[in-house]
Amino acid sequence: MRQAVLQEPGLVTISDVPAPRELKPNEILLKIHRVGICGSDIHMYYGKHPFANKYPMVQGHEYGGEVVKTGSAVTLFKPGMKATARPHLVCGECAPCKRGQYNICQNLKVEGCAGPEGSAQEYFIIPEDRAVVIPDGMSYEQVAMIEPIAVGAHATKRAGILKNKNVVVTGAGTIGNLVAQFAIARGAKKVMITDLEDFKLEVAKQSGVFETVNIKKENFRDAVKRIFGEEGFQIGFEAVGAQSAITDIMANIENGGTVIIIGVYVQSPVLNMGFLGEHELNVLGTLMYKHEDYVEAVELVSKGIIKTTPLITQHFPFEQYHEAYKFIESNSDKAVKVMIDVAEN
Amino acid sequence: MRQAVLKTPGDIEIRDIPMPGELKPNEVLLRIHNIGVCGSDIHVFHGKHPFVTKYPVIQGHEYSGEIIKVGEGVKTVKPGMKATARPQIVCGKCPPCLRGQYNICQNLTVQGFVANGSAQDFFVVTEDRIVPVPDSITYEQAALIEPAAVGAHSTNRAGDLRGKNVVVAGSGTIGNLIAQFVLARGARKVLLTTAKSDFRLSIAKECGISETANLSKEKFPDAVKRVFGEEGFQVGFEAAGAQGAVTDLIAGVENGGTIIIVGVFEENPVVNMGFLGEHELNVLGSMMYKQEDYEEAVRFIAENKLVTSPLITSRFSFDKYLDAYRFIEKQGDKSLKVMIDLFEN
Repeated sequence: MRQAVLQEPGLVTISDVPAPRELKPNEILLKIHRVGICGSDIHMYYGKHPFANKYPMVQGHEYGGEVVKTGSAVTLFKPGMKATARPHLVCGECAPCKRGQYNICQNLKVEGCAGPEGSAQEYFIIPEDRAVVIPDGMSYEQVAMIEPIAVGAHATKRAGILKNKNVVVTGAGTIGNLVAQFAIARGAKKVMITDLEDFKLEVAKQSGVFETVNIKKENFRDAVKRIFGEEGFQIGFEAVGAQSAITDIMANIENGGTVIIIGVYVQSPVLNMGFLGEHELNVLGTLMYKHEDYVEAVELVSKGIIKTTPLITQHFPFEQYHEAYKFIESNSDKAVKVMIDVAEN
Repeated sequence: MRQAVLKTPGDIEIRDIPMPGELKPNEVLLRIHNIGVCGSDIHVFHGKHPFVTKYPVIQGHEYSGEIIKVGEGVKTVKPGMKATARPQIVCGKCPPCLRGQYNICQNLTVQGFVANGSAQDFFVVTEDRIVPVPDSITYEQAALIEPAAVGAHSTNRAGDLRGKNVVVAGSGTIGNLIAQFVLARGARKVLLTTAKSDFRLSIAKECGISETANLSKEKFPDAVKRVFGEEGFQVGFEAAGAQGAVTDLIAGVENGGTIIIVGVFEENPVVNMGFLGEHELNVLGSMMYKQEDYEEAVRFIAENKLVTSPLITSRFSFDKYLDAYRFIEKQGDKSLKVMIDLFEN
């Protein structure tokens, strides 16, 4: 079968590798149909991911596939069903695992990232406990979007109650867009999303996030005033990984507000501790998701509450995996989610 | 009466001014006995406080006094009682005030920083901010209620501390009192660190904080290992206002852990967002206190849950106010709380 390998920063090759081994009783064999390319894949492609720096690496942690075979103990999945799975491998024994926070397992490994190989191949084995059931009628593309949607589900839960709050999301890439959609779905009063690219803000509008700000054209503070008036904002999601974004949020959020850090920072920023301390801000990290976030993501997509179609801006066939990365490299202003079509449908 | 004026950074003058005028119905006249010199006073003295930039200013926000006279509407206190008061003047109308977080009022003014403080023989405060002190507490101890209230509030910000391992970075008055509060609130173990001052660690030991580390002699991870073994620590308090302390805490705390920012930073630090985000840390600011924190501080001191006398390391008469600051400048790491005594000549 074909497999895409990130050999070293800047080089993706397609190799022919043996078909997957025999299944263990709890395992499922997926025929991969779609793999979504994630910002963190690109960080790794550049050799600039803060943690994921193991090469060669078979990437791919956002995917949708078809169940082709199941192990003898698998009960929820049958051949022909659509499925995806969480990519984390956890120890189950550390303190966070024991209190149920396995997403921040002290020994966490992520398939396709710093852990074992990911799904950038024609067939991929997943264990049933990490897989989620996909209802009929959802497309493989939508299934491949469940992973970033689960990031949005988890990040917005970290912020506490969003009902009637004014919310700012910096960054209108896939994650920022989905976080903004979730903030609206969770009852936020108004959600403002910022970016440097009109194209991404247009995608946000098509996704139902109407209050958009191009930071190249409008000062952050002015935009906050225009959109929220005297009310200001109480919650910020930083989904860019940039100094200016975190600076803007922390300088303008209401005292006592909550800032969720989602973006991956190639360079760690300077934080204004005067604001953090004296305004009693809550600056909270969020990492990936738990199983219930995947389940909620599936539910909200199937109900049409979270929109995925406007986000998928390009497709590349599997053979052009490297071209897809190069495209993103030179067209980051025109790409939100780029899909690799591993199988045709 | 006498008043100490910080005219410009580095220059304090004692001058003679008229006694306060008639009291309004809700006001109380205090005869000041003791004033504690706070780290933030020294920041202002150096012209390096992040928010205080207006001179001249009358400092003094940690104080005790005797009630001399009360306005006609005052019901809760009467002449002859010992008291202290919160220095916060709040608007009562902004969203934080309306939800009870008046300590982070969007229009907060603090006496001794922007408004005039208590560095004078007599001082007028309003009844809503006054905190009566039982006779069993000395005037010197009563002047420590303010920093103790900072400890009460910041340790409440950290959530349930029972059974947790806790690191407090910074062994000044605030760090010491936080560590004592952490122990009083049922933490499993507390490690108090200093960048260099063995003197301050010996004071900590006198206050019942047995686990300490001098980071000029022992690396932070080694100290954590020595004190907590494999258990690590789950909560950190940054009470040093130093890059090294933030870096150590964020790198060392257990995944999912909580860091409370209490220290004042003259220079903003770089924060490792990889750890903050991917370890799902909670980095929370803590600002001053509310009335109930003052009341809890009084209770804990009266019940001897806080040991205060070892904290007072030097005393200066009111006329030597400037000498006290110069002493701290030169001997900072050999002193802890420097007390101004208005009744000594």
